[in-house]
Amino acid sequence: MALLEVKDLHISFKTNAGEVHAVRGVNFELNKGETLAIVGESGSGKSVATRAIMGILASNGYVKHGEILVEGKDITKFSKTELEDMRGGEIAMIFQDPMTSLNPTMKIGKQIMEGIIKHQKVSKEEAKVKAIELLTLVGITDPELRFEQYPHQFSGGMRQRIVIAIALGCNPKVLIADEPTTALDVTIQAQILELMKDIQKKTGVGVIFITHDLGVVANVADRVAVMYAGRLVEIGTSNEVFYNSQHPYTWGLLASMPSMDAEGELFSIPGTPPNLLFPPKGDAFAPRNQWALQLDFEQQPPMFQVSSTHFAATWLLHPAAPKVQPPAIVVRLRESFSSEGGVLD
Amino acid sequence: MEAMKQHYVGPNDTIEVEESLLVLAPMHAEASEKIESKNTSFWREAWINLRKNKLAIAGLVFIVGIVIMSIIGPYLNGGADYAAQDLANSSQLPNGTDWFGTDDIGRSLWVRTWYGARISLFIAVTVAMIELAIGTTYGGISGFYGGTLDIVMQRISEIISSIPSLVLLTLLLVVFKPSIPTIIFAVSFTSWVGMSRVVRSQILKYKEYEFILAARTLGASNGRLIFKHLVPNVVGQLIVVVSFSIPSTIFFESFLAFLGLGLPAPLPSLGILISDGFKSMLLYPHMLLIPALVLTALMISFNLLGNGLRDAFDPKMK
Amino acid sequence: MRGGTQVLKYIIKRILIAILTLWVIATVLFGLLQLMPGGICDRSKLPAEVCDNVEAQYGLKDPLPQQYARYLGNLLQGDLGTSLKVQPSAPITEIISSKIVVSMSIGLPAIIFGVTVGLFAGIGSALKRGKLLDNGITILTVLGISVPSYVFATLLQYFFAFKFGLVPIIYSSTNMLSLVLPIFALSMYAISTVTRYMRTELVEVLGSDYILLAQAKGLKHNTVIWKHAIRNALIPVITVVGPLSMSILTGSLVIERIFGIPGLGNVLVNAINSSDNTLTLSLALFYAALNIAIILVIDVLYGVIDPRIRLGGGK
Repeated sequence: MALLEVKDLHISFKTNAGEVHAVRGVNFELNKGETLAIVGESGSGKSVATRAIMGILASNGYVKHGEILVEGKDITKFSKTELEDMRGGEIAMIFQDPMTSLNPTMKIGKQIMEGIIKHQKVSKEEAKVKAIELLTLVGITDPELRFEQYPHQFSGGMRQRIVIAIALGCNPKVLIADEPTTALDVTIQAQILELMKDIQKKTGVGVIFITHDLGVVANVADRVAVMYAGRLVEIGTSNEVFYNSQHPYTWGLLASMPSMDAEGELFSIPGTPPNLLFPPKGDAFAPRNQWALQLDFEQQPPMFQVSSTHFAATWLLHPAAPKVQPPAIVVRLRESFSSEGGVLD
Repeated sequence: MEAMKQHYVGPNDTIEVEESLLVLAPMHAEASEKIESKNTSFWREAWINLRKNKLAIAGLVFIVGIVIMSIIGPYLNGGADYAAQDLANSSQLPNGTDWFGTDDIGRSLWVRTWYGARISLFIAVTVAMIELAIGTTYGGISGFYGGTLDIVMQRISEIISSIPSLVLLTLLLVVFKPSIPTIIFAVSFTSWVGMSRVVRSQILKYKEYEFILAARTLGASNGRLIFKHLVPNVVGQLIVVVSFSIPSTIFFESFLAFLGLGLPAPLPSLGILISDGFKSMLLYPHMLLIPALVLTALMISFNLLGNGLRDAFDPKMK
Repeated sequence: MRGGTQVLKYIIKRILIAILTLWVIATVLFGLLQLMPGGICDRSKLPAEVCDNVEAQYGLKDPLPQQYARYLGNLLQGDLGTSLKVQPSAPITEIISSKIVVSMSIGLPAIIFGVTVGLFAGIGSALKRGKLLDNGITILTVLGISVPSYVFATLLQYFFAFKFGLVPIIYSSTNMLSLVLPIFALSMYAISTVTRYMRTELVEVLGSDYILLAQAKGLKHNTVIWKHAIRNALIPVITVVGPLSMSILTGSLVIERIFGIPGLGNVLVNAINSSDNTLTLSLALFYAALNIAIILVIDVLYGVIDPRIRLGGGK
């Protein structure tokens, strides 16, 4: 059984202007020890979906339809107390901005201990020992001294390490990292990514990695899910999504990565994402898609299977669809994929 | 719901679609861009935000109503002389000839209430204008020149604000004897500090803008940015400060009247009327209640409008 | 500890600034005294030579710099001079210390009651944001801030004391019930201000990332609210308590008049009305000193409570 299974998840927000359909039918699963990256621009619903998994949606948000199964149990039907026990213990979360995600008036040691005491059911003294071990694990020197300090006495990178320690203190089976490196300097980013990989190896925790940066994904993820306007448009192993992408939105993301296409002009996807107060009836990406088919405007494409692990929601995969020429960078990536015989794993 | 479900299509599945639509569509991106970036101006947006706030609009309507009454009210019910006495007709309850009744020496409370509102509003608006002038200049100089001058000027305004304003007001009026000009002077003297702080912080922000702009060497669009973003923001902030300053001046004036430092008789103001009404409250509660009601309505309306304006100019403050 | 010396330095700096401020205020008040109409002999029927004698006795014939030096010297020794008219030849410090007790007996309960009710109302309002409770509290807050305390006080007095006879109309030192209305009238503004502040702060804290993280740790809802959210929201609210205490104290100027309470505000009103200039100015100086002291204490308290200020290092 998968560690985490999301089935046909729909999430809406009630606003003054009406119902915002933030997530519109998302399916994915996460296995033990695996890292799944969810990629998409802001407003694509990736953070909303993971907050629903944690049961910490904003008060005007609600799961409209679908199931979130954690080890087979549907948490959308959990009571408040069951949710509290699940949070941290089953699934822990790391947030985007380490500068704001620690309580400024509580010593960091105490903030780590809170989760340990709640989920590992140990005494204060044991919790302290474990907290100091965790500080060492996440690479904080002088952990005994640092234990007694407040968040403002740490740098951004250090604070993110502490947030990771807090999450690990709960002994989670799944760790959700919501853009954990976006707010950090580039050099610190790499360190935090290394740390996360290292921790995954040591603890075997399953990781959901949310990011808008495909470059980061290549580094850490086993599988990648691409989200657009509240739906998955493509999901597959990292290699499949990188070297054999099918959805034009994924192509756009790949082509707009600065390091991927050093020569030639930097590509940018024209237009802006749709207003999810009024979700479009066809493929939401169609108005911005230079390879859009007329059917894309009329009918939602299903998830076409590309391989046993690779799916993409575009009518271009219909046998009768016209063959199109993807951007140069995608063609080059595909060539390198087939030249290596498609065996990259 | 079924249609929204994202189902999987394997290699052996067949899927029936209108195959004629499986052709490339013309690019629509421009259209989607147009809809999203509809540009609303700062003032328009503020007005739209304000209009949505029903309480603020109610406040605005009340203010306009009271202002109109303070202008034409005195002429509607008999003579417009606030000092005309009619001892034979004193301490009357509200009735057909004297709509708000009369006071203990037979002056028409209708005339005196609206005339009093006129004087209270006149004092408050004048103070707000003076405050605006002094506060903008002081805060502007302090923020613009910075350095030692700024420190000294800040220290001076700190000292002024460390004497409780009601005490300072009282002292000034003991020295200068109450009259419309001295009350205006005394209240302005204590209340410009808040305004200068707002202006100073805005100027500091502006200096940062300028620095960023210079760094980007945007050149010509400098002026455009200042007029499009800085000026409306500062003016917006100032309007908010003024809308809170008017009720607080009305309050100060009435407070002073209550302490015996109000306008000399027979001039009415809302504060004087309340203070006089208090003396005969137990026998003739209407003498207190009517001016108190007008004053309270005015204070609540300005506060509601002020809150609405603050939210309208800075929606994230909500 | 590095933090400890920093706090000490900060406190010393703040005290020095406070002393400087007080000196400036004292000097300005001295200047005002010279400008004030109504010396000792106004309105009195004393013969001119007696008047001269009295003025000489009080040193009012000396050159100004000498008077100023004596004034400052006396201030340093805690001597505010003597009242001339309200309580002739009574030392002002004695008047203040006896009257402040009466003022405090309504001021202190008013601030405690106001802050407590305000905190709970603000917390309730923030936790039920957008619900009926929140809207109700918000409307009451606007009323509380807009309606002047003396209007509120006279209305309370008219209805609860005069019409319904539930409590005495006028203050009496032997009847505790006579304190109820003045305390309630005075605390109205404090309740509203604290409510508004607490609501704003708590709403902001509840939307912060660290509350999300505390929830994500699986902490109980109550633990998140009380240990993480409310604690952090309370800290900035401390800063309004200073100005509030002061506004309650000055607000009692009129409240004391309405209910006939023989407190400090009453003395000030009498001093003004009888042109007892020394007393008026001394009271003003006392109010200013009290204000500065309260602000100082609140600032230091804030620094001690908030580790970001206590230990330095900014945000």
